Amino acid sequence: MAQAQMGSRIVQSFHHFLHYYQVSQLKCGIIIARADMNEKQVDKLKSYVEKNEPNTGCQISYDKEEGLLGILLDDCSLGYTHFYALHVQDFLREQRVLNGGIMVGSFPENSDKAEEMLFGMLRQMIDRPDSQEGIRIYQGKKEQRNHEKSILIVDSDRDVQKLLKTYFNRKGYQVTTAGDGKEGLERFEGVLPSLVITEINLSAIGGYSFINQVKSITNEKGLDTEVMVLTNKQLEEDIKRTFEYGVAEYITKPFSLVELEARVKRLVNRQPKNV
Amino acid sequence: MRDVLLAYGIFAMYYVLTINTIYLGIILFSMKKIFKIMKESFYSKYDTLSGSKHVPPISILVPAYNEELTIKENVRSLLALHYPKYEVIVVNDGSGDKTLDVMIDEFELTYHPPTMIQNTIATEKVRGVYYNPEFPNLYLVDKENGGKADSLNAGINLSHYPLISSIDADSLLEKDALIRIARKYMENPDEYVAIGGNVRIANGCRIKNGMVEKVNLPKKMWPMFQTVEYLKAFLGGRIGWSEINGLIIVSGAFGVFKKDYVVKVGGYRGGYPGEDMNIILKLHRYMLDNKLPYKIDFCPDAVCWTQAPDSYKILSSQRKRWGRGNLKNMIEEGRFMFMRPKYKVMGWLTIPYNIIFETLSPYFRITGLLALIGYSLLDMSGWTIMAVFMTINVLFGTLLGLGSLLLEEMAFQRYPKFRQYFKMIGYTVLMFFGYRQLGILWRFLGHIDFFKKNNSWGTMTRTSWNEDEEDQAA
Repeated sequence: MAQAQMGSRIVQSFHHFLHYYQVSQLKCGIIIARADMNEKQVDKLKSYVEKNEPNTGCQISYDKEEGLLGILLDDCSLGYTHFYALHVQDFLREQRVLNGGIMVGSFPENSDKAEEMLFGMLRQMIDRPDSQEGIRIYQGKKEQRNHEKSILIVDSDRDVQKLLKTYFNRKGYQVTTAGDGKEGLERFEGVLPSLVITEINLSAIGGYSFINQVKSITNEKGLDTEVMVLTNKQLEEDIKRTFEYGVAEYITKPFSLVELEARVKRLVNRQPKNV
Repeated sequence: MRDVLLAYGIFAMYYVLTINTIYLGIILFSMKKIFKIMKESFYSKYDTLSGSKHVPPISILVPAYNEELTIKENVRSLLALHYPKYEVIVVNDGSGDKTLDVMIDEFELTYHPPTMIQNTIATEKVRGVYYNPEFPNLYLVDKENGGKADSLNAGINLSHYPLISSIDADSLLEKDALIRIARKYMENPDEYVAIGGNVRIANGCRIKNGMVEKVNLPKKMWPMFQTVEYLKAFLGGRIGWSEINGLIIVSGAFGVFKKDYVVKVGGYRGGYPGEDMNIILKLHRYMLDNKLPYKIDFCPDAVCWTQAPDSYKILSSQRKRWGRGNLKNMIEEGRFMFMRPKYKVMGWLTIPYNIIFETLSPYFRITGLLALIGYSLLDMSGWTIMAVFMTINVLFGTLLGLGSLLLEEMAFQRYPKFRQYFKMIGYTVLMFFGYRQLGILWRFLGHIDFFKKNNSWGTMTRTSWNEDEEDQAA
């Protein structure tokens, strides 16, 4: 069984893409549907979805042996993938080729590994060929975090990024860096680090709104991520305001690496909350 | 008759040569100053300054009239400036669109009666002030329509800090623009009354998240001419004028002022375009009348990006407006300083230069050209003199243009590619074959507008500001 699905045509055609999404930590959506189709109908489906959702890049692959249709969507969250699947369902019903359920999933929302998500989805579809019609959401394995000791550093100063990255890498932390608030937020959602060290003077998204959004994501997902501010800003108003935002530490530049590490250690090595 | 025409024509030629010679002098002052500026900004630590307690707080005033499409992003971008302590005061000037609602929704502002506004300068009726403690440095003033100057005055009335900065709602400030001006100010806080920023043209640049992400030259012809023109005016001109403390204008798009003195000279003057030049003239006059030591400076490394008009129609109406405002300023303020020893550089150089060589230039140039053409028609033998003069004029002008480009390339290098450099040189030369002449014509048409609409000052601002908005929407 496992062999069959590994060799499936869907896996073969999506393999490279999924690898890319995995490495770049970019979003993608996958739809698997049980349907009996011929080449012509697959082409028809392609032009149908391109007409209805012209802004979404999609790859379509059909596995004749298993009777499974696979669609890979670029930059799609779970919500959007589900919405997209409704279009697909409409088309399949119209063509009277749908003969089973549809499953949707999105990376990295439903799984930490893009390829494993596809395998998992195929496995579930093949193992339960009798499932009734309707759209189900794939529940994959999702570890809370890749690495217990991971840090995200957000600072527009490349030198600060480099210095901290090298220093903390050597101390055994996994370090991700970002140059502005927007990039920082993207990285944060991809990595879900245990600590964020950020400047307040950021561009694209300002420091305060970055911290705010990190905090709300943390609360939503029940993570125990701490935020530490490392900034040029020395005004008491700023210190007061950042602590109101729920920040754990406030360090002003110029800073001492030894002191910074001591404070980082205290925050990262705390007993993890029961999540 | 022939001799009279020839004499007048030659006089006009010398007139043009004199303009260029004065400009050359100014550019030499710019060259002298640019080295100082380069060193200053090289050795300054703006990152550290942007969080320092010692930097004076600034109130940023943002007049907004029908800006519903862009106001949200612009305010967000202003709230993320790298500056220790500042407030953003958006003044909704009775917009007809949803500017007010968009702001209230976006920042969850709540209404407060306008009791916190002092009535330092008289303005149109203020309906209310909107505020949200979540954004402690953001205020929104809602007032009845009264024009840009009136909005700035209302902003001044609310402002809490000793320095004010006027910013067009459609311009983009670089994150460190304000701190660069503040550093300049801190060199001599007692004497600086106004410092202007550098305005660059954003057409052709890639803009993302309220920031200029990638600098590039405009693709269209009109913005490209203006890019070269702005470089010349700002780098070649204003640096030099500021070196001798004879700066006559701080751009309305971005400048910092000491509030006390703005209030003392009665705030911004409404009812006419050119309120940015007007406030500087009034400041010069006030300080010199009261024999106070002062400086008005220009800070070329503090950059504000603006969208330039990209069609002939909008550009010509903008320039006509400038011509009208310039004439008004010279009649209202300039003539009182003209050749008066009391006003030093302003009285002896800046104002005479502006009146004789800027404001009145259309008349001299147009009549001079007509005289020469008339002379040539009467006697074809004179064409060599004309040709020689014209060539000298173009060469001189090109030389000045190249001087400004040199300043840009030495100190700032915003356009680093060779291709960009050659494109700018090309347009610097091209300017003399049509664009400059149009500029003169537009100014002249502006003067005609001035005399035609002399009695209806009030109604004009509104339309002119509307045109500004259209510029940006285009």
